[in-house]
Amino acid sequence: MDDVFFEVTDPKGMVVICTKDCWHNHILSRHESLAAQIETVKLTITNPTYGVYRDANFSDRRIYYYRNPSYPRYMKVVVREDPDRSEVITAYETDSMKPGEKLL
Amino acid sequence: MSAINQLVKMEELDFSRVRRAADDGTRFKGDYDAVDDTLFVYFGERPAEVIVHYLDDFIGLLYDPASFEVVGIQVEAFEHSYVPNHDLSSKWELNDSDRRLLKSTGDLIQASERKVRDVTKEVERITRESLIGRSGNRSLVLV
Repeated sequence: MDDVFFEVTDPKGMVVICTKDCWHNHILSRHESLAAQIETVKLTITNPTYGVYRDANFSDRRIYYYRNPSYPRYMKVVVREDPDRSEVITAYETDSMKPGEKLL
Repeated sequence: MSAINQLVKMEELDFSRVRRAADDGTRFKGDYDAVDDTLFVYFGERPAEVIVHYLDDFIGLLYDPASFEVVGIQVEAFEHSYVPNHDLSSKWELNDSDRRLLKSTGDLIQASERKVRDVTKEVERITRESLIGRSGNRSLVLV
């Protein structure tokens, strides 16, 4: 599909895509420093060193991937889980997880 | 697998920009991401890089990693949870009067921007109360 910016597979074998629209219009428009971190974003999904978590409030559709920090941050990638096409919703840096997140 | 630890404590963050914004009446800027259902509110200009410091499952402070200065907040699950939980539906949802004025995409964009502005003011008020309540120290945080 020509709207796919990148496609990767997570450790459980789930294919995750990121569309061009998501990358340019949602992620970079609000987190422009991630422009230079595209490979880190992909690695966060393929090799989430801090694991994969499910959201307490969106248990049916949101999962989070974390990768190792460079102080004071973790890379966090938010994915909407879908049997047909799991998609990156957003990505950003955080210094912690949310209290309600559960490790999968 | 390593645990995710809290890397920065709230006491390490610098709230001077928020205090200045409150003192000089700086308009807070709202930006709603409909895909992620997240409202971003900035206290002045947004830096190129921000880190999220979660206060709870919905609200995170946004700070500049170079200075640890708090520059805004993000509210997750905004439409799904925050709006109904804070009785903001009347400000967020389109009413009959709004709908009658919608004739074009331009009208829709104007209405959206107006709604975001209106609700940003409410989020600003709620956030101040929330932060002051958490810190227990008005001078430390916002006012």
